[in-house]
Amino acid sequence: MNIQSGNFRRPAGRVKKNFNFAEKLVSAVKLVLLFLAVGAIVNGYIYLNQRISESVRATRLSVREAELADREIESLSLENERLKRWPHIKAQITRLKLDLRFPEPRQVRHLAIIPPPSGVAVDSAIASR
Amino acid sequence: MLSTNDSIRIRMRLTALFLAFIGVGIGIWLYFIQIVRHDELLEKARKQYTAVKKIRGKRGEIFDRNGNLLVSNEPCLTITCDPAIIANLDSPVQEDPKMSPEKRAEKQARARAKAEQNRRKTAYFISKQLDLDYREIYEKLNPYRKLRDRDGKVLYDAGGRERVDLNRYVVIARNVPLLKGRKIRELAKKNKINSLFFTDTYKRSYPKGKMLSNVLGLSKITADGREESPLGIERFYNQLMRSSDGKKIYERGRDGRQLNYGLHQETHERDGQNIYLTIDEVLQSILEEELDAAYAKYTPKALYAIIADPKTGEILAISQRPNFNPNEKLNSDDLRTRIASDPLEPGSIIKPFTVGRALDDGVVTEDTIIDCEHGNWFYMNKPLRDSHPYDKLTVAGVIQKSSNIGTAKIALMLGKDVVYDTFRKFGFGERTGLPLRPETRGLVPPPRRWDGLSITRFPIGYGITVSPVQMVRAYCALADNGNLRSLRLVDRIENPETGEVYRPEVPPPKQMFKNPDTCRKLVSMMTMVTEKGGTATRAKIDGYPVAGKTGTSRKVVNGHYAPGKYFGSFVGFVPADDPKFVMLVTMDEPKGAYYGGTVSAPVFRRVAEQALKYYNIPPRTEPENKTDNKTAGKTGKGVSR
Repeated sequence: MNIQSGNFRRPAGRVKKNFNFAEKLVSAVKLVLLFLAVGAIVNGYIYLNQRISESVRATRLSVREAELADREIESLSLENERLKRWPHIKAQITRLKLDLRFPEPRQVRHLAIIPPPSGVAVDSAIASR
Repeated sequence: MLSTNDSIRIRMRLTALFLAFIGVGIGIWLYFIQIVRHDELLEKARKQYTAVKKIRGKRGEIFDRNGNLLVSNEPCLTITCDPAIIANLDSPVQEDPKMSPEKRAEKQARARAKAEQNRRKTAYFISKQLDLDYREIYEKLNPYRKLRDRDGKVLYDAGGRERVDLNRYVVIARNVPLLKGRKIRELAKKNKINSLFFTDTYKRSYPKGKMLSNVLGLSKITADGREESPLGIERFYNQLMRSSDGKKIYERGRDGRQLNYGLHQETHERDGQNIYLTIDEVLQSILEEELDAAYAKYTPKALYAIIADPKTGEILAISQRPNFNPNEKLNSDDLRTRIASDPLEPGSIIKPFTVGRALDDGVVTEDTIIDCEHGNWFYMNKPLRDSHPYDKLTVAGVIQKSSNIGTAKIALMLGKDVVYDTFRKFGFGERTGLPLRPETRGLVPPPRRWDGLSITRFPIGYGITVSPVQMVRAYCALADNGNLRSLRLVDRIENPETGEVYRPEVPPPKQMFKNPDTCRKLVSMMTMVTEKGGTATRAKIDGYPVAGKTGTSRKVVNGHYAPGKYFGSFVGFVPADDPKFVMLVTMDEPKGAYYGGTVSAPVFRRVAEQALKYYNIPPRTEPENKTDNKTAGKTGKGVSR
């Protein structure tokens, strides 16, 4: 390599090429398309990853909400059991002056759902009428 | 002299060499980081960005036979605080080195004042919401804590000053109810208090309060997170009901959130198994209510009651007094399952077994006449007395009147070996195997250890000891045509994750009598006990035949029979012709009255009446006092079950 600083003269013997606009344009377009393609792939990849991340985060939030709801259900079930205690029910009956008591055995009638002789299945709601 | 081209060439080569040097240096450095120190640095990075979260499993629950919840895990919150956040010390700000000392001091003073204001605000908020002492909470929120050694002694630095560190963790309250905790969390957010943290936990909960407390037992979590159960079903099935923790290992970002593409490993937690008892909650409630009334009336030292199904051996209800509320702080005296662990001299309730054996062996018939010596009889120069002076009684009369002399004479006809064999056959002197620990065997000495008087004392319930559960087991045999079954308290065990159900094996019953008629005759005699002329007329239920036996025995204290201290018992079953349940009621040292027929028989009647209604068992005969619900309402009897 023969670098000479400050020497800006064109070396002798070089042939000046003709500037072909069409070829340059095609090359430029190809380059742009290449960059666009790469950009599109990269953006698409990022976009999909982002959607996956959001979905995963949303799933985790839903799971967490379900866990919280489960805990609330457990808490309410326990409260329900506390309210079903006989001392509590009795206190409420007394407080509200409800005249409730166990029936005598002769006051109780039992219903039986008997299937029809043909053996055809019948809706239990109809059979019990 | 170098030409311009040469000097440029040399500079370029030097530059290239220099760049190559740097490149090689970077390469070597990268080699050391990526290859040589790979494991060390990866481990360091993992420690920093890897989080390990413990997932607690849930301890198994306990239900009654119909799926009503008796013991569960209540979701709650543990509230902790980071005092360093309150004082704004968690992320110290870089000081400007150009700041003047006066301005720096002023800035620090303002920061301290703000920290103090935050601390007071947070302490006030916590004390108000959780009803705690303000001063105590304020002290807890000190952003610095003294460093201590393993023995708890404070450490000092070279200058003699106490060594301190940032206080990053303080427990404010445990087991805060879920809804209350959530409300506090929302209020804290609203008041911009960001130093409180809420962790999901569970605490053991007994929604039925005192009901079945001594049998269910209790469970607690120790400081190191282990589940411990000192009593009852919780203790016996501790291993089955115990949960195992899971673990979640994941990589997190700076904000603490899990990374989607990082390491993720999960070991699932395992919940404990659920226990379904044979107890019927409705029957249990009936029993508990009547026991509370009897306990208040006679203020005995203890009171036991058991209801069992003679056809299956299932215990339908079981209770004792004193009891406790497992949701509250406990007195260690209450923590006993006396009904299985306390032996007692049974008294007359054991008489039917000797008489039944005598009937079965043909030694006597129900009409055989026994001379009851006018209530005063000397055997081996020792007196044996009846409560009333009976002359001659039939064997049926011996049971009806509960004659000690009559029973002793029948036992003499059998002989000590046969009497001993009878006791052992009916399970006395042998544990029932119920899941209640400790359980007493009771005491039935072998014949070689009997003295001359034993043959007249043991059959009337003195000198031997049994537990209430043993007595119920034996009476279930009398109620079920002589079939002795094992008592059961657990119906099934369920795996909550797989739904698998395991039912304990039930051994086949053993027949106690050779003659199929023996039991019928014995039951007929025992029915007379609750009829006019018997000792348990207060156990009679209108319209239903009741078979049973009273027992009143003196209590042994420090090896001697204590004056004025008795066990008063009644055990029976109804309807006598097809018993639905067997019930035992025993009072230990009742006050005011002590005969079994006076203190325990009425309890039996009141419970049995309600139980018969609950089971819809129609009366065998029309009741003598026709009282229907309308009449009951008019007479103002108020609410009954």
